[in-house]
Amino acid sequence: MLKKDSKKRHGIIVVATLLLISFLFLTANIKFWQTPSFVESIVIAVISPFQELVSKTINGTARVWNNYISLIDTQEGNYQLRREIEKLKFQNNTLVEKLNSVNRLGKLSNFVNTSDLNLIPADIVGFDSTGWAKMIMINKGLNNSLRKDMAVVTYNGLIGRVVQSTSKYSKVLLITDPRSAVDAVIQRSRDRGVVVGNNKGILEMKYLSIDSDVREGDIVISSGLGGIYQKGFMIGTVSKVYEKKTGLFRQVDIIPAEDVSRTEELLVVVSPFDKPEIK
Amino acid sequence: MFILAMTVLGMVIFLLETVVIDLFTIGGIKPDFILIVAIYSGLFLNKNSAAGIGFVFGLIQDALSFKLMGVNSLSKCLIGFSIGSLREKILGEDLLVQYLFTFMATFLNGIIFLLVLKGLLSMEIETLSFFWSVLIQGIYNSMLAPPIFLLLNKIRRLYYKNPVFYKL
Repeated sequence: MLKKDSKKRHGIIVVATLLLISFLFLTANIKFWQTPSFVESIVIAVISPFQELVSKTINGTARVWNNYISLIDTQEGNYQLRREIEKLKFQNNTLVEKLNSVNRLGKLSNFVNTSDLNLIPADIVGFDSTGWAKMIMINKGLNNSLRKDMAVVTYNGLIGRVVQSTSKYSKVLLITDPRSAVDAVIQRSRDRGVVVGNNKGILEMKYLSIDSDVREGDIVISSGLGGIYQKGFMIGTVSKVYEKKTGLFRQVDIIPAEDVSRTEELLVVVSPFDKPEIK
Repeated sequence: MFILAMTVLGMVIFLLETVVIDLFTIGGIKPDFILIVAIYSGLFLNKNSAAGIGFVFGLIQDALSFKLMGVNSLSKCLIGFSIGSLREKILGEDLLVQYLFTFMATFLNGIIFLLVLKGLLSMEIETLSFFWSVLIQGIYNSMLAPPIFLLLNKIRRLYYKNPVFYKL
């Protein structure tokens, strides 16, 4: 009886200790979240190489399947692509003309000059393990000159920013996470607001003036304010405008420019002043 | 052998949860395999082992997320221990028990998550849509739990002719 009681007490002490350790991690996390903790570094060092291996195997298999096995409808796809190229050639010519006129007027400052940016390609090795946070792990880290707060993009648009780095891997907080905020402008009307994630896979633009001229289909780009995201990265397209007759601000829903679950390769924007030493 | 089995199981689950999760995601909501393992440990192992497994797996889950260290280790440890404490009073093999406990544990996990995110980390979260997601995840976890329990029990019986887990 006494032995059973002592065993029961021992169990409760162990559980209480584990809960206390969890609580200590929680409180420490609030203050020291910027650098990966000891536990995070070990877990990433042990698990991420396996994540990378599995991820590469899956992507490689998918590539083989798409390139060699799944060749049904290729002729039809080829025809469609040729038509698409012709259409794009036409659009390109029109845009070149427009660009020339913009150049002449000296208004190119609204676009990102990609030749000024150092871009490091990176692969996604894993997604967030909890499902509540919108975070990805990439296979580049401190060894590749990656630092906290560097923007992560694709050629289609903005993805997020580096929040933590170990020597070989980095965590990227996506713009769809509620903890993410990007100062943005509506490209057409130049109205300004803050784009935040909402955990539903779409984005919300807040603090947009009630008088703003925003319409569905408008393109939203980063404004360059805040010092993390350079000016001109595409964030997404306005999908819904909430009409408000009172208050100071209106709100819009935005569909992100890039679906991260379908992206294989990302680009990390290294500051033009920090030439990366790629190892 | 127990530690080796748990390491292999953990590795498989974390790779499932972080790499091939797209296969399991429905409407942006994914199942919580780590929670399912914590519930399994509570239902079929003893409460201390369940608390330990919940804590370790939860801590790894936190480390593979961002700014959430301690949240999952706390909730999974608590859930494993609570279900483990009730193990002698319930029949773990009963399907209804498995559905019910998985659903309730998902809700408890969600409540702990919401309290920590809103209270400690001051995150802006729409409570109603959060609970809607938890409800869907609860149903999803409940559907997946029985076959996973069956598989884990089969693996356990394959390696351990005597149920040594109970003695831990």
